[in-house]
Amino acid sequence: MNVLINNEEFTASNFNSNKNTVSFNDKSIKLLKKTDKFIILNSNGKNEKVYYSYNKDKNEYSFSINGETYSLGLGLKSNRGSAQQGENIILSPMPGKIFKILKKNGDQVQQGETLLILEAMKMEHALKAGVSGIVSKLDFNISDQVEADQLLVEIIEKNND
Amino acid sequence: MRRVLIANRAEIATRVIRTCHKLGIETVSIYSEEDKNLPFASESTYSVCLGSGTVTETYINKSKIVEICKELDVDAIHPGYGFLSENSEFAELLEKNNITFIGPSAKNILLMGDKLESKNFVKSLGLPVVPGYEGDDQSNEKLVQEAKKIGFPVLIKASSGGGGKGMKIVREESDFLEQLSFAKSEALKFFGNDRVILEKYVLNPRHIEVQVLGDGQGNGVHLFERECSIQRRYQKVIEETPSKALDDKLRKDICNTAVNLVKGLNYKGAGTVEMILDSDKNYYFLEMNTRLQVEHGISEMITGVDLVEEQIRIARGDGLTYKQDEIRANGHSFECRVYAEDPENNFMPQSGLVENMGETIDPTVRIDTGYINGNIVGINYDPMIAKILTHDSSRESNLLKMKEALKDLPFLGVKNNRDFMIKVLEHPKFVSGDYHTHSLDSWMENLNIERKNVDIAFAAFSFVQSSKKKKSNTLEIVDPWSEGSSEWLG
Repeated sequence: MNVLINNEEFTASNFNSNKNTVSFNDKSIKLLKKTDKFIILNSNGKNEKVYYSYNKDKNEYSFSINGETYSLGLGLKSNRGSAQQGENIILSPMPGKIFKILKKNGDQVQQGETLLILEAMKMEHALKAGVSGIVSKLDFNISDQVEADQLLVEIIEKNND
Repeated sequence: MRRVLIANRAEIATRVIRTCHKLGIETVSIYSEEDKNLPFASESTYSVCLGSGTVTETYINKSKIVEICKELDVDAIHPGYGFLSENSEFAELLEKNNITFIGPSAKNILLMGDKLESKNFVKSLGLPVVPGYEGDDQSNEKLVQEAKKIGFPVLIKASSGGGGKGMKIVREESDFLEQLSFAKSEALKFFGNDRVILEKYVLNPRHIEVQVLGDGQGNGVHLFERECSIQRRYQKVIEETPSKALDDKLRKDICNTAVNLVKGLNYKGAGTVEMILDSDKNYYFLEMNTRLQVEHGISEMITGVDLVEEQIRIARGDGLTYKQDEIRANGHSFECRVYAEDPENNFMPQSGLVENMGETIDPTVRIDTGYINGNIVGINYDPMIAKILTHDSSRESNLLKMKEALKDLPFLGVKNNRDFMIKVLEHPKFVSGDYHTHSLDSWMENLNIERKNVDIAFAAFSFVQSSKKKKSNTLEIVDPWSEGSSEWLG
């Protein structure tokens, strides 16, 4: 298990805590005040007001510290946006509705061709083929609701051999 | 006027309800099933659920809205902005049904809603419009001649176009014919018509708009300007008044130009005259918005005038409350728009829960929002969650005030642009007020979100998490410092 802060692994060495103080990585941070909306910490003699919230569904904490927002979760690093995703896999970049479907399963498409259009918050977002190949797994109808990161299309690449 | 229906949702519905109740007027809110938990749905005197469905079936369902008005004996409708606010058919329909539309006449909505007609009307009043050519003679010779008359750089636009399609910027005469052929073939491809118009391309334009009020009898006043040049994808992000770009003389000229348009139209109600200002301080009419603007609040803050109250007074026939010399600008005001979007992922719109908005300790900060903690920002409506407005004696002091306000209002939960806006406020060119409508795009690489407090975030996590653990044993997260679970901290 790792703590992920904004999807970056964070390691706390020599962690120690008692009632109102935590220490790790040669730092010591004190808790001064706590309400249901914010806490006040003291680090290096300086007070810092930290707003916080917890999202049960995502199992994720959010913090606002001096104008910077942090999200902190446990578990595996999300693959979102990383190379592992594969250019032949089209995931929904945001929650939305299928607005237009331009290709169907079995269609031959070229890299860069628009496959379908997603609509969210009055914006249309064209999803394009990352590689050339045959369209598959495009099993949606117009107006279907999709979640962020949901698989929308898989392109089966042509074998050039 | 005893009872007003607000044909809108979220923050603007809440905003209008506030003023109606202040004036002793009852309100009716209409809301979609999806919006039932937003404050506006129940802050009103009466509420009607429109069911679920598309916007066409709910918020802009004209006949249904008229039906509700009849059932509930509604005297007038406030349309807010967007939705039916600039729909002349709706204004006409209300007139037929003896319901007052809190806004201008259908005729004025129609005229100002037409790009070409409005420009011609403004020109006929002797007011400045962007120099251009819209004639029937589409021959190359004529177009070259007109382009030279306008002066380069020139913009070639598809006459039935929009959204940048078929639009070309030509910087020198020698490039004109080639670009013209590109523009024409694109226009033909997208709009089935290769007719083009020419327009002077304004370099580094600033978006300056003037808030106006008219009584419908040929009288009008202005409430000074708003500078709205901090935009991204034609969406305004931060507005301010007064504008750093205007001196007293130019301000007077621009504001008087706007008032002359109000008088020329016999305009009734609140409106906004949008202008562009070029780097040589020439200004031109762009368009008129015949409604309340999203950013109206900053004008309210510097003048002390409640614009919704003025809209209602004008609509019920009280005329203008203020003479021009009674409207004075005091100090400086900023507005920052909090959008549910991810600045670190190409500003992709986001949906999700508003978990903790935060709270400001400065009682002069104005927060116009349609949400409370626990509300969901859905995907079917506008991604704007809130407008944060501040007012102070000078721009300098107000800038610090706004930064502090934003630090206290993180809107934790759904991803948003709060951190990004703080970076904009800190940009040296923003601090000096030296910016135009393309500036934000050009600053982008210097506006990366920074996170310098990872240690404090981790410490905060440990304190918040440990107290949760005491309250409840149902948490799914393993307490990282309890016995037996410390190994992963390695």
